[in-house]
Amino acid sequence: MRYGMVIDLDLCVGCRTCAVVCKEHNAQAPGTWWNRVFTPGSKYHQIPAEAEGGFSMYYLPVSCMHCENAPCEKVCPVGATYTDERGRVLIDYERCIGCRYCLSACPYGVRQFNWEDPKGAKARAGYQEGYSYGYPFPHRDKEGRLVYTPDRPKGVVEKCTFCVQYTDKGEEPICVQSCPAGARLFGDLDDPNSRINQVLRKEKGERLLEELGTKPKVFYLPPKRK
Amino acid sequence: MKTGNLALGFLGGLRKERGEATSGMSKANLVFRLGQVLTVVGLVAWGLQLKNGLFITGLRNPFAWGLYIATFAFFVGTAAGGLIISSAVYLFNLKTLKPFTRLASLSAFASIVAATAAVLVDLGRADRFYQLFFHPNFRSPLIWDVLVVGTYVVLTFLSVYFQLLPIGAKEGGRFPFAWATSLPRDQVEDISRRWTRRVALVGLPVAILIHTITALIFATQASRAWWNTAVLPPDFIAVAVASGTALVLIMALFTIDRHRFREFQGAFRLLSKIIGGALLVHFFFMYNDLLIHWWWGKEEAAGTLALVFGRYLPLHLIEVVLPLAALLYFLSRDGARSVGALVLGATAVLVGVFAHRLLLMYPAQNRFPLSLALPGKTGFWNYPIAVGQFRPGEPVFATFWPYLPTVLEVAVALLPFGLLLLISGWFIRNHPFLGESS
Amino acid sequence: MSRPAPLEAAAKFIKSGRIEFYREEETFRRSGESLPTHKRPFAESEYALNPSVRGKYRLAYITRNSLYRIHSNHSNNLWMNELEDYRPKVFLNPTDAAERGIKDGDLVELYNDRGRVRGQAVLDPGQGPGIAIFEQGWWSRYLEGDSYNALTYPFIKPTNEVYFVPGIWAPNTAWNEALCDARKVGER
Repeated sequence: MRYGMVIDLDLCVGCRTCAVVCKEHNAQAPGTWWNRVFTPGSKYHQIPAEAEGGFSMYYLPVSCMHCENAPCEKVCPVGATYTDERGRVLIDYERCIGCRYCLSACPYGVRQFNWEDPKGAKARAGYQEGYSYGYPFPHRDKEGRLVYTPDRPKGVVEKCTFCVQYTDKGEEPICVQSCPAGARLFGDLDDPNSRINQVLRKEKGERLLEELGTKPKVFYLPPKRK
Repeated sequence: MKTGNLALGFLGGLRKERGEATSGMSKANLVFRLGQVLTVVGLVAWGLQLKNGLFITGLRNPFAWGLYIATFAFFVGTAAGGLIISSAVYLFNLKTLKPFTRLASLSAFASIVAATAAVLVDLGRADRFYQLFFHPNFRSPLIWDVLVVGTYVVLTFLSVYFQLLPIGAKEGGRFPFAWATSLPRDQVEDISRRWTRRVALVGLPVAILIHTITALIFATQASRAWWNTAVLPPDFIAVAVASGTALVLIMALFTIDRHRFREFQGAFRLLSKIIGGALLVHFFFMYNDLLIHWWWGKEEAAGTLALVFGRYLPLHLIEVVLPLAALLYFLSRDGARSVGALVLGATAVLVGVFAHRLLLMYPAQNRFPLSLALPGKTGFWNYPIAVGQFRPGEPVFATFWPYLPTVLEVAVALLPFGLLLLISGWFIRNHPFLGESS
Repeated sequence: MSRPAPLEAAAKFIKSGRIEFYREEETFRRSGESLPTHKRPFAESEYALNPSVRGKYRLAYITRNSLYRIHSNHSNNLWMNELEDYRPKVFLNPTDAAERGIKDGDLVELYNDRGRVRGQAVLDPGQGPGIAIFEQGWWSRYLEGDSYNALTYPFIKPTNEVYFVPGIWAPNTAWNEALCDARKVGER
């Protein structure tokens, strides 16, 4: 099984719902965003960018690409970043030594470091006493590696896990569940009958920075008009 | 609180012994004391960093490696001096440099310890350092760097140790030399010579490996145009020869008595020539690489070059002009005539190399791999990255990170410098380090 | 979800029970709006209130909804603030901005005789000329104590007052019937 995702950029309306629910469900501290949506080439989201022969405006959601040839996994000196049996690139929060080599190696800028204790950042944000958000339980893989916990330890790296806590239960990642435009599809790249493979047979999916050979498992259907 | 007591202890020691140190070893003692102070400052700052997180540095998600890694690369470079010089003496029979082999090994040992400290303070979870041994991932250049740097720490220490053995055994044979006191003097000399040579023979390839693998940490990253070049490992070696030799030169000038300067002038001239030659090779590599990127005009490379020759031009000028001035100075007639001139030149080289190491970070980090070239413009658009810090009132998504080390970060970075001074000061104070000129 | 007004409530003013393009109430006839008609902007509002503002303030002041709020709800939601850089913005057409010496990212002020509001200039080539847009809902704590509604005036269209069926047909302020101009007050 190899999980993958297809994002149809013609359907994406740039509402950033995926980014916000990702932040919520994965309990990201203020200042940390695993999932981002921007308007390529533009300083401001949803403002047209200068482009060849005029202007262009489309929206590009970017989170972890779960690369087959993942540079982050290769550079990790302690194997804290690994690809699991379902093709998800995960981080063992109990093994990461915080060297941040993976932040330098990742071409997509998706890796986020815990520069301070996330509990501290959340406390400073001034939430109501006793308030917390996100999936509340720690989640471990089959070998017992800690791949999700609401408050990551200080000094480790974190990023999108394809919502490991949900996909392990057969649910889709929260960005897929929540997209109001239905722009995101999620499924098994090894299953020829999965919906994403049906779509990818019909339309040519493109991957970001394909020339680097990282072989992402997130495909984009490019906008027909930019 | 422990560190606080430690600090007081050190300062107390400083006060007590200030009066005694008057001649001969006094300079070394001063260096040792300065090393103590810097080490304590660095340790206290590191303690604060461990408590609060790397939050206290100027680094953030868009700019993940900075002063610490630059300092690490700098000290890996200066660590070359030792074994390159001792190897040159043994392999090429350069007798003029023989009096400096002990000192060179010491500079290598002190530098590589400093480099280890620099990379240790960079870790977000230094407490999990043991994971490197329990779960090594041999595809990572970093694990190989840990291995070769670790080996180099041991080898340089052994090199210093075996060279000191005859003296140590003669001077009453305290702890690490005690076993040799019962042996005949000739035999001790023989062991020293034989093992120093053996360590040097193993050491030379390891010395080359530490630069190669440290360079490979960067050069393997195909997504960063600034690093991804095959010239980086040879260039690291060139820079290492220049900066390592410059450090040995400074330490040698520092150790000799002023009136013996003439005696060693030939050796100093040779050292400064090695520095100059290595710098020429370094500039040759660097500008070849830049030229190739510029000529083809690929958009990623153009964006990086725009950073090097635009925003970071001052740093680039420092890395080029200072060593270049030193180089011309060394090659000139007056360059090797006085202690002051040589120290000035070697210092300029070291400062320039440090700037070079800092510049290894800036254009690589601030040209995000995921970016768009803008039509008809020299600039580029970096896909924004969340900085990873709660900062109310300030934008959280950055397309550029104006990295500047914080005061506390600089204080932490004093730790490796402190250790270098501490180790070299201690050894030079307690043991004769200068050999007889041939 | 938005549904059409219930028939019994609408029956009060839609006597035919169908969409009506012709109204014959006194107010409609007097305003010349018995049939759908175009009226020149500001003629019956700003220019009627104070003729001297004609030509003095040359931008229509539009307070649109933001992607990041529901009116003023979530104005203090820090995730939403992070998504919009904690910066209230003034959206201008690049030509209007150039005329006023405003560059992208400048701190600009929208002002008229009634008040002012400040924000970061965003030049939107897709936006029509003669319009300044400010996103409604920012609390005044983000606006140096100003309020974006200081620039508006409670103009009420007379035809709005013909019936009073709350939520369906009732008087409301014509928020976007306001003139302003823009000037640069600082750089960011």
